[in-house]
Amino acid sequence: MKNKRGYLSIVLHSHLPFVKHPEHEFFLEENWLFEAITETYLPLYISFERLKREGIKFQLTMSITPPLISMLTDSLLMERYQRYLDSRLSFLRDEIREDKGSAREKKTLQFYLNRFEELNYFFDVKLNRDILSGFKELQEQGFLEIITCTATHEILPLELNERIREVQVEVGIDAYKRVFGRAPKGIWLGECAYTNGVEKILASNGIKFTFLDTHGVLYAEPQPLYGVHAPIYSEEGVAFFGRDPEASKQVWSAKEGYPGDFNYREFYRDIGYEISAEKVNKYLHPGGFRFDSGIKMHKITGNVPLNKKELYDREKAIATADTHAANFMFNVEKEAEYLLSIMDREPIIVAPFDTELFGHWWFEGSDFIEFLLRKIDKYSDKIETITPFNYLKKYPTNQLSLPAPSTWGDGGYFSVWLNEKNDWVYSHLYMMGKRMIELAEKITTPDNTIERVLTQMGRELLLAESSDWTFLITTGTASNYSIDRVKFHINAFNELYEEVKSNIIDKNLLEFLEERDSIFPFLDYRVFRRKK
Amino acid sequence: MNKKSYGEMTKKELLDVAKRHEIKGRHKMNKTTLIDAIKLKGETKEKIAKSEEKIKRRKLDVHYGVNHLELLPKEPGNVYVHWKIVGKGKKSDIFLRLKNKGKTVLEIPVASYKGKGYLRVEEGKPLTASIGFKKGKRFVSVVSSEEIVVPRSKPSAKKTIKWAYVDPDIRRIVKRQRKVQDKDALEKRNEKTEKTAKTVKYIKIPKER
Repeated sequence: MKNKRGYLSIVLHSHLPFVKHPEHEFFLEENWLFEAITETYLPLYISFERLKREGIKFQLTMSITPPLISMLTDSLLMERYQRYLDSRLSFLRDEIREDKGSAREKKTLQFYLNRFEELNYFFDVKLNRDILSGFKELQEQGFLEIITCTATHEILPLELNERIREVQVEVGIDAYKRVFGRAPKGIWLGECAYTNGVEKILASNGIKFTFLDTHGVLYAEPQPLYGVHAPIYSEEGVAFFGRDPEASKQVWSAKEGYPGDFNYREFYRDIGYEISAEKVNKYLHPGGFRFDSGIKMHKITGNVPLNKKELYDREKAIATADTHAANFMFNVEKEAEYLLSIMDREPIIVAPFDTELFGHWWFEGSDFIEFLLRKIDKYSDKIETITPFNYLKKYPTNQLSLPAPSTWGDGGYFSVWLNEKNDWVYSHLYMMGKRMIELAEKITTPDNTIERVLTQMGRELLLAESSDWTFLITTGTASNYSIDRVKFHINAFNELYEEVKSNIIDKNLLEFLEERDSIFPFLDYRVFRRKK
Repeated sequence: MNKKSYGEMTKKELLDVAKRHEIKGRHKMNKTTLIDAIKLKGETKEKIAKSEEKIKRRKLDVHYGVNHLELLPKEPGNVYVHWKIVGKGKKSDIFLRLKNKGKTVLEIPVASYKGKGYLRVEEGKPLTASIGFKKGKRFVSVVSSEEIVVPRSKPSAKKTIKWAYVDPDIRRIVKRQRKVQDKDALEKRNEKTEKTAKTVKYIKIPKER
């Protein structure tokens, strides 16, 4: 590459909160996972496989969080996902057999049937219901750099127990190692939440790099000369990469961004709200609840009400994604060109996103990623994709600077997770953390039952710490469910604590909690002991 | 409807009950095993319901048995404080004190054993809080918080540049000198980046309708 100007580092952060309800045969919130698998994780995997087969070279970073790892390796949830796929397949086959609707509608139904059949093949046959094995292979072949995340995506700066901050990192690394067979090189801090001191925990756990929002790096001390276009090092040698707002704004921006194009699929109009009650019963929910089926027949169309949306045209939508990928590449090339003229090295342009944006929210997003990676490899003589670690190998000398407290959430700090609506959570988390540490240090030779109780307390604590609950309470989506969940984990933890103290154990309760809140099957309560 | 006991039911009726209980492999069972499976499922469901009820019924307002005080960063210049204490002393003597590296920066009467609030403070500084009783000029602390750093809203004023070489494979730090091409242009570029960053509005991904 003669004219190389710089590097693009795409980072996809994959996360969903741990949701599993074996006590109910159907549970609506479990669909968050099923939708993400259907619309994002599997389509992206299929795209990466296709690129690989074509001989396209690309490097992409993906964080897969421990709760997501736990769910994707849970046999009950994967069994239920197969049921989800099967019901869509039989719905589509029956609809097509009915042979109703316009030619365009029939075409779209056929598109969905083909797509679900492909998903089913990859999930059930090729990957044998083990989605992570596919991503693991792509990592071993050098296409992906998979990184871990804090155990339950906690906002570390809002965690006051130093030991619990460490546990979040340690358990996150442990969960990763068990699936990917090696230590992670990097970590995604839940919500990119950073405050001074976190760098020390990362360093002592062998983490080489992480990501921050733009101002986390730009406001670092002393001022980083290269801004976000080269990493900075903390005194311990941990590299911090900052989000480039220029590169990501066209994807993120709700107004002027690509996902709002009129040709793309409309998110809110779903066939689940339109089919007969009888069909809802048969295919979606035996109790007759209506919710998103994932089969959406319309396009965004314009700024019109849902009933005025026009029918989706898959070919047009795909052509639009192709154009957007070309435009994105062009913009990154321009930016790299300019940056190289004022820097003494090739800049890195870091573009982090929520993985679920691609496919779930922006249906054609996974196609966009595929087009972009193919185009860069085939047609760009100016930019290459790279992982942060490989960039560090090329440029191991960087400026020393201490990052600034920040998140990548609305407002850039902590107000999404800490405000009048959800601040009641934090005194519980603080005191529960203290209780957990106290018992872990005090009880050295528990019998089998007490050991199980202590370990389950660890799970309840970590689940209560998930940033998702406070986030959803603030945004108002699923806020009742989130309030119930965080209260449940607080109550379960304190109930078990009292049981340990009184030495009266309710075995039925223990079994119930172990089956339901089964995150981190490998957890050992001793991890909560402070290091001497 | 008169309720039949399981023993009085026909196999077809039992299969209907088993279907409602989502018992797997029910078609291969004989009458006795069907009844056993239904009973077991019923007992399990009852146990689960009892356990769930036990947790949901608990009062959230736990008394953790110790004095505690949490100080948390919210955004530049804004912190959250929450406390709960038991102490011997007059309520009206209870004060909240904020300290920056040992120096008191704020002291206010709170007159309550428990409470919460958001406070305006200087940004970019480390901070600790304590709750205690104040008599005259003497402040006796009951409980102190962990130290936090209040976020800042602008770039650091420090511009010293130190370089370090970190071997990506073994992490060895060597401080290095290096030449930079265009310092002024880079600084301008950083100002632009900062502005762009602030104009980007994030999409909130809806998790449900």
